Amino acid sequence: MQISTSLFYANASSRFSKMNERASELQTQISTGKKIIKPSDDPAAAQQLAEFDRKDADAAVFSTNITLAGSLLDQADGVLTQISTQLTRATELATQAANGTQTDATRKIIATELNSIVGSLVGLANTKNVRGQPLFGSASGGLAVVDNKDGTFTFPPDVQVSEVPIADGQTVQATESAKRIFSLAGGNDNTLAMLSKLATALNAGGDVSTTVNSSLDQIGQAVNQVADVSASVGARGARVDLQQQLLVTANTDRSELRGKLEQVDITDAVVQLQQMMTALSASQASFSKLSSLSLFDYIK
Amino acid sequence: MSDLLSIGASGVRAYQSALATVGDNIANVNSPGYTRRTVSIAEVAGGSGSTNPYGAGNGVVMTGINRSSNVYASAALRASTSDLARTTGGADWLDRIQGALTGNALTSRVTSFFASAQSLAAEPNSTALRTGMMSAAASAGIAFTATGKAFDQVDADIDSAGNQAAQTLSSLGDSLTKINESLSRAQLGSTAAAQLMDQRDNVLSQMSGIADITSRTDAIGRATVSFAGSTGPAFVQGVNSGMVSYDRDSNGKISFSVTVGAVKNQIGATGGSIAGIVDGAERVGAIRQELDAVAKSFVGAVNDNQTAGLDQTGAQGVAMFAIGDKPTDVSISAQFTAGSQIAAGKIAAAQGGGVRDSSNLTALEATRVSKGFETSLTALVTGNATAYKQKNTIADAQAAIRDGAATTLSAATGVNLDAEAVDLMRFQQAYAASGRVIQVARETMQTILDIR
Repeated sequence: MQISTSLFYANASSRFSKMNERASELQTQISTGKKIIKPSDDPAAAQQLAEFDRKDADAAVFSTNITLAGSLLDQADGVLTQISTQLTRATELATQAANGTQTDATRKIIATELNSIVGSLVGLANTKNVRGQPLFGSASGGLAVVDNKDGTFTFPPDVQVSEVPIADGQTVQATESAKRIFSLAGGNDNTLAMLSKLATALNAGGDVSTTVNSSLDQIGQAVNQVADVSASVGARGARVDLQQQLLVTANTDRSELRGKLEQVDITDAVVQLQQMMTALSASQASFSKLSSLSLFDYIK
Repeated sequence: MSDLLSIGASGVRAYQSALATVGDNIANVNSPGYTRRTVSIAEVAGGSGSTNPYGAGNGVVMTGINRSSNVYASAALRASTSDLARTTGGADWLDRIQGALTGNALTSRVTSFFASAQSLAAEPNSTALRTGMMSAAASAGIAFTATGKAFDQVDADIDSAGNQAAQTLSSLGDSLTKINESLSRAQLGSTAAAQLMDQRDNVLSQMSGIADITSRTDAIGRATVSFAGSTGPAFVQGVNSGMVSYDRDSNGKISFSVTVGAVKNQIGATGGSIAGIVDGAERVGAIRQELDAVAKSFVGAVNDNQTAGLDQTGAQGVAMFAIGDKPTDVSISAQFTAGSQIAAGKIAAAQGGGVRDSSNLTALEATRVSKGFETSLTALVTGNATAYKQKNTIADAQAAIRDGAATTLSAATGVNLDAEAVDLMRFQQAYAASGRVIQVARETMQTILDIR
């Protein structure tokens, strides 16, 4: 078949531009490290990548939330330990007060110290968390416990602060309410009021043995209650730690999958590019040889 | 012997023209649309001789200039050009849609919005997190609006491409009528006729890039053109041609029509770039509809969630988003002015609610999962990307078919310099030999004259 001269040149030029195009594509892949630049490069992979993008955005939020929940639980654990220490001191004081050798005067001193323990317990209960909110507060906001200065204490309605989302469909209660920490059997009484009552009784003097003995029982209950809450906080802390590990593992798996989908095999791409360049220079050489052949050279 | 002289002279004349034609071919080696010319030469029959009853011929005469065309190859090239133009035209629009869908990062902005809600759920009373969620909401709104605007731009570009195509077709039809007119005056077999036919084929191939045409030529080369899938009178016939127009109806559906005389007929968009434009417009319409649905459902769900909750001050939530003229014109509503108005807690929640209650945000997350806004948006992008990729694959195959047709046509009609060089030598030799014939005739005559 006779090939017209202009077609010969047109074909050569379109072949060269195709090869150059492919070379530039490989070049882009090598320099960006990615083989999917637009969704149409590989629609199926692009869809998965979009899913990964979403998961990554969610994971970033969950990771922040896990850190927050973890730090809140750690803080709660620390404060609960301090509350527990204060209650131990209260036990010692009550035991001292029960001693028959104590006089009204020494009981007054004990009462003063008990009152200061109540004050520090209220302070500890109203500790602020990292976000500036009461650590043991309730959903309605505001202080965790209010000292009415008359031996009674007001707790906000016992509605737990909303749980913190830490994974798809998983949440954790990152705090406790002061009401639960200080609740005593029967439900109507609380540790703070009970200690206040004891202090008032000691202040009043006279025969305090009945009050002191029942208070000792209740302080024991209060210590147990704090220990229970502490154990529950610790268990949740362990769950948050576990979730964090799971999140890290999931992130690693996802980024590995993402790499497989969108990252270019550099070695392979470089070899392909080299092959392309070799073919291109061979084509150019043969083209220049062929195009220099002309019958007109022989017409003299 | 005067016969021999005129025979030599006829050869010189014929080969002069032949050499000129070869020269013309060589000069036009790079002219687009040029068809190789050949001369047809024939013997001039002789009568009975003057010296004997047999006699010789009376030399050679050039009977015309032929275009070495191939009507089948031309038709095949036109058909494959038309197919390819439709596919690449359609693919260009799909590429534009892909840009419009992904350019404004709509999916990731919607994800950011929901992620900021999840952040806020961890501490609903935090002003910083509320402000963060409000700005995430604003960017999601901007992304919807910008995506809608990008589609408006695609529609505007489709309109201008459609009008351009219609105008080009009309003016090509007009040119063809002029060529037809000139062809009826040009002498058959003349260079002028060959040139006109080259122009005619050029116009036809340009037309087939724009629309799917069928054409016939009559004995003197005048073309009649009609659009495939269009009834009624032919678009170009003799010296008359129609007007092509582009229309978009109130539903956004586009069409091309041809008006011949007073009769208007719709052109079936079966090939060429106008079919690509129609395909693109259909896809833009379909995707736009789905995008509108996602925007509506997103805004509706978020606003419903807002009004079902209580904000930071304990008041019932107000709508967060407002929708403008188009469903994609999403913006933060005028009543929603501060992050404190995000309704994080539930109204009359079983647990009592409060500023640190985030149960309404949990409900928002549940809505996100059940309605799958992001999944729908990704599906739009992926669906379009798949169609685009398929179109490109088809375009590659059609380009190969078109190249094959172009090669076949070029083999018949193109100029090959080596072949022309051979012709040049052949005709030069014949010319020189004819000159020698004249010389011999003169010498022979001289021999007679020299007798004393």
